[in-house]
Amino acid sequence: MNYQSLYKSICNHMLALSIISLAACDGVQGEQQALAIAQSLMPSDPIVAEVYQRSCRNCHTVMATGAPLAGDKDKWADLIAESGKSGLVENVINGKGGMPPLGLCMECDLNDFSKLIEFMAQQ
Amino acid sequence: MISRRSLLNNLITAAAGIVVAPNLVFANGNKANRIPWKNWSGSQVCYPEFRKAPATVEALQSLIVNAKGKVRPVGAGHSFTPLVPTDDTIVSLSKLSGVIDHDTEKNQATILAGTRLGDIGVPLAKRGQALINMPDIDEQTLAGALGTATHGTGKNIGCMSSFVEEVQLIVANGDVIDCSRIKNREIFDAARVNLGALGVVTQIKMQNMPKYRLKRETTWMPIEEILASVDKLASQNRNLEFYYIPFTGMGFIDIQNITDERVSVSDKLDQNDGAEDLKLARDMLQWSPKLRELVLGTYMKTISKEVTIANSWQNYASERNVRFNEMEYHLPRENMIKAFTEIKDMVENNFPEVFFPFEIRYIKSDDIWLSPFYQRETCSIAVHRFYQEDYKPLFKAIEPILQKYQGRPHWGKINTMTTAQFKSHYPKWNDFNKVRQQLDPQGKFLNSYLQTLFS
Repeated sequence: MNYQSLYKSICNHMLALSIISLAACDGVQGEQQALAIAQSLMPSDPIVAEVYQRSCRNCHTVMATGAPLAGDKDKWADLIAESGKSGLVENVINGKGGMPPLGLCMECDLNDFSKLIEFMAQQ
Repeated sequence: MISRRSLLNNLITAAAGIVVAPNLVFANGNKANRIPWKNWSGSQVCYPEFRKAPATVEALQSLIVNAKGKVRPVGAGHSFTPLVPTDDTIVSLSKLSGVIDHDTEKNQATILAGTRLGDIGVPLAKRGQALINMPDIDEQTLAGALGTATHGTGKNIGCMSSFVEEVQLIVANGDVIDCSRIKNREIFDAARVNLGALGVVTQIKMQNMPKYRLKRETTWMPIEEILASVDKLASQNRNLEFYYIPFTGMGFIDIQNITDERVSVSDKLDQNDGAEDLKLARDMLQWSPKLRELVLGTYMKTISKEVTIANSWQNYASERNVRFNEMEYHLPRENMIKAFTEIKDMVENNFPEVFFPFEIRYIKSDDIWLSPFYQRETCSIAVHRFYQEDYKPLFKAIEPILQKYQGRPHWGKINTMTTAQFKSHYPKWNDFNKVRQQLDPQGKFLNSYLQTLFS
């Protein structure tokens, strides 16, 4: 164990923190805006809305869950570009992070999951 | 807290000299063009022909009566044991959710079975009530939690099922049965912890208490100090649990007490970040247990006491985004320290890959036939394994220790107990099975696991 390296790491860490805190103000404002958008959205189709309310909304409108927020178009566009819509449906079926397999909609089919993703991505 | 977490990452990286990028591989399955059902960790999988979510009791009755093959109720998929899997029909009660009635004088409320624990707090608070205790995950449905004797912690507080006053269930012929201490008493004693083997529970009346606020205090200390003080602290505080972080010599005690103090939060470690950090330390420092202990132990000694004051339902549970498989056994309280010490030594001598904390909780005894706390003051020991890693070697090594100290497994957590072993632990096993046979003579609710246990 090299204690000098440890000490250097701690110093670097302090420097990094001061830079992070300067950048943090803009980030917080953006997060609050994204949160407000997420909490204001509801699918217009009542059937999709019922499933969204029951199975998705609890996490996809709460920053702390780590789930991508409903209506965060940039985030969802990145996810779709990365995995494709079918990849995101597969994530729902298999579960991801805190989201259990089938995303708490045990009766949903592939079409239901697609509609929910399209709604949250605002496509 | 970002600063401390970054500090730990820097410490680990500096000590190891390299950075390992996470390499996640998600399970995928496809059989006969059916969408699979999986539990939360992905360790249980089935390909049901029908996945149903009836919106009314009448629709549920019709579904049960007309179903071909097996019918298994499913909650949030938080059990690691094969309670749900069937390739016939799984039934979710997610549309039967909410608090539908309450009694202010008695502090009781009737809650639909599909209500998730995390969705009970607010509607109960509007009625001036709160659940007496809750587990540290609140994703489960009420019926799923009760069916598996899910528990929180507290030396003088029983598992959630011990606060059940009435149960309504739909049995195999479609009948609606209500049971309580004064009505259908035998069914009530079986139904409070039922494994989904009696029928489908639709609603439950819970004994609650006036809504309350909890003060949660988290204190890190060497494990020797925890073990020396834990029993006394458990007597002095309403809720107590402790965690041990393997390969560090350190752990933390979480205590909670009812308070009138204002809602507040001190700096707090994110448990999901914490688990990821421990995994990183494992990945990079596994080659040197002493260095791993030095780095993690040094870091943990810098963590100050955390205090969180919040409404009760907000303070029991935390988000669990890092998935795992889990073994948890419930032991006679006097055996906890001996069993814990053996497990700690065995893991630290043989399983350097383990990084998840061990969790120890207290549960009061009860009188429920299939409750692991039946007539026994209990401590539980839980061991976890990251969901993408093979849990079998670790659990296979630990289980004999837990069984040697007369442990009864959590119904929802991984174990290999046989029917004969269960029978020896549960004096009312045959009484339960007799009630089950009366309510479900054809075994409609028995999947292959339950068939093994009860046929």
